[in-house]
Amino acid sequence: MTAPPPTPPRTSPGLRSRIAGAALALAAAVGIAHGSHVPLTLEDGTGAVLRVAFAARPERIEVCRTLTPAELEALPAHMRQPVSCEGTTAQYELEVRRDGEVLSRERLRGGGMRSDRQLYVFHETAIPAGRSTIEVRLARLDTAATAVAAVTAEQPPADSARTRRHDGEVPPLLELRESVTLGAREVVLVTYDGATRTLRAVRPTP
Amino acid sequence: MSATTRPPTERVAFRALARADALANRLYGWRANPLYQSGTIVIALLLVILVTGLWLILFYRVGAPWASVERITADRWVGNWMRGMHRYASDAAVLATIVHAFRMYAQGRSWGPRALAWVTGVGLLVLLMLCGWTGYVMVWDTFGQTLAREGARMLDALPVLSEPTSRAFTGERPLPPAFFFLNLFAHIGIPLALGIGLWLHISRVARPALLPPKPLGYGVVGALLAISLAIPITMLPEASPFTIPATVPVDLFFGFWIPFARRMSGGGALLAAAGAVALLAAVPLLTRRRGDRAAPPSTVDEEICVGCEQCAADCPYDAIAMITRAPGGRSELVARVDPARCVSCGICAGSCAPMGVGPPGRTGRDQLAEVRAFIESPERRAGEHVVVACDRGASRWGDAIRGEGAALLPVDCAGNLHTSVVELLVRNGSAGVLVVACPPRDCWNREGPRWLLERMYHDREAELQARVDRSRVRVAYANAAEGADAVAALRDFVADTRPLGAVAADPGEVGAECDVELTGPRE
Repeated sequence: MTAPPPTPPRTSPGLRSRIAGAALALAAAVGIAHGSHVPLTLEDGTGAVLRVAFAARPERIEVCRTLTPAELEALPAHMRQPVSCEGTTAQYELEVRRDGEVLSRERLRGGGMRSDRQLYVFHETAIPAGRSTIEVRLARLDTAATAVAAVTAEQPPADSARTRRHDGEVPPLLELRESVTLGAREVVLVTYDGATRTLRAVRPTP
Repeated sequence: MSATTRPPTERVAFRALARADALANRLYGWRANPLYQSGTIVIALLLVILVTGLWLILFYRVGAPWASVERITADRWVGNWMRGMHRYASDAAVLATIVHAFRMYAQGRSWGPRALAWVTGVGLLVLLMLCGWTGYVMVWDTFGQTLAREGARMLDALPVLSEPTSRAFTGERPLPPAFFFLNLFAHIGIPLALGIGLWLHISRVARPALLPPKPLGYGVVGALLAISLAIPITMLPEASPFTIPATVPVDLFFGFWIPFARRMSGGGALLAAAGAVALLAAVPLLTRRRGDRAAPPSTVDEEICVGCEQCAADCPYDAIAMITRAPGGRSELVARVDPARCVSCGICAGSCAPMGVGPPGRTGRDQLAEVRAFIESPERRAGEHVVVACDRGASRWGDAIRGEGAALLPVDCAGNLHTSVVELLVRNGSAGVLVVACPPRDCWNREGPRWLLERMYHDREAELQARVDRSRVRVAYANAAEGADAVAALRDFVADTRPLGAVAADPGEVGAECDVELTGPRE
């Protein structure tokens, strides 16, 4: 004897429940649509931004010494170079001023674990909107002599130190001084132009 | 396992969920309750996103991202509507995923063999967020730019990139089309990973439900269509590295974290995000029941097993396989439970006519022993109604049920219930047996009520025997917050069975009959 299964309760909500259910579904849908466009205030709306961003190849410094005959003998035949040069890259100091006031000052090294990649700079500083005089100065700190001192502290004495220039390396000193007028929430970008090997300011085009 | 051994946070979450379920049942009926179908709704929404995305991609240009999207958006009746569907479906997918995860957490379905589903679910949510992220960057409006810059800030905290990613957005040079091409590639590639993740997500369940019932599916798509038309998508200003917008309309579902991240360093934001994901992924460890609190997996008594394959067919987690028995056995096949997949749901106990399989202490034979003790207890009155109710469902309303003059027999899950228990109750003088199961899509063991109905009314193996008067047996559904419904179902049942009069006790042999021919003697 097999009877049909009983009608489970509440499988068919009444009309009022259906209307309430439809209204709730609609409200949820509208809630989703509104949740999709919630205004978020990112800035207070009155200031401007000074952005310093660039990549530049640092100057390479090499410390060289002549290998002894015993050291040469210990090397495989195809690697016997009479002069061995250990390389490093120069350090720089970046200073950013606005109207004479120092906004930031930091020491820079090349990127990567061995600091042998490009210098990467990316700073954003809030400044008041209106007219400002921006000064950015990038100066090399290391010289060949300081590099020799650093290297010979732990290694055999070096014969010489030299800086080897490549095309595109950043000059020992870069300076930019420029007056800019910025509106609220506008950005002035100070970047390095590899072609002219100078710093330049880029402002929004109207 | 009883609810009293569950962590307090789970208990609180469960109470909230049960109330929400009860409200949704009242409004939509259990068949179309969207809370029960949160997982399948996500898949339906992903299909909507896929279809609309394929259409949108035809008109997207990596060389002019903002301009091409603006052209699409300006087409009020097709383009804008498609964008709206795509966007709102993505938002709804995030919401439905969170509801789904909350449900699994509240029901304690996040640990043990279900841990794979939980962890892959967390992975799917992360992929969904990343997909939305790349989608908004594709538009390259102020919100897309905000997302890109915040993402780059976090990436730059990783010590793997020598050149900071953030430099791409400083304005030193225009963003190359290659950036948008890569972003588009990711936006298309991530859904492929979503597909693989979804396959893993459901790999440990048998007969996974992939799509919601048609009325609900149509309702969801209809609601999306309605809001896409009623609240059209508007274009935000094009991203510019030289202007910082005062306000950006943020999609909360994909950008809720931006206000928090902006207060932190890139590394801090990345750590916070990684920590949140790790915490979510660790939920199976945090909620895992240990020692006595963990219900043991099912075991098979090979001397009883007749190799009928019903337990393997009914197992909702594909945890039972039929293997060849040693020669000379009573049947060619014998059931074997994989403890790594068994969640101890006990469905197999209800599906085994000779009562040879089930979690220790919950097999058909254990149930019969328990119900015999129940029948012989001094509190029992002749001719009273018996309500068999799920531990996690209507049995929580025991006082109200007893207040109606009925006796309550709590069971772990109505899907575990062996039909012999019902037969024994009826043949021992119960005026009627009302089995109050959780609504089918609410079953913690996935398919309990489904198999219960099949066994009671459709002769599924381990069926309720024909000699049992069906007019004295009824199945009703009520969850843990629907005590009033359970009581109402009991009152109706009592009213319907009253004219049948008293039932004479018939303490004969009980038991479901096997439909399998044995190949050898019982060992």
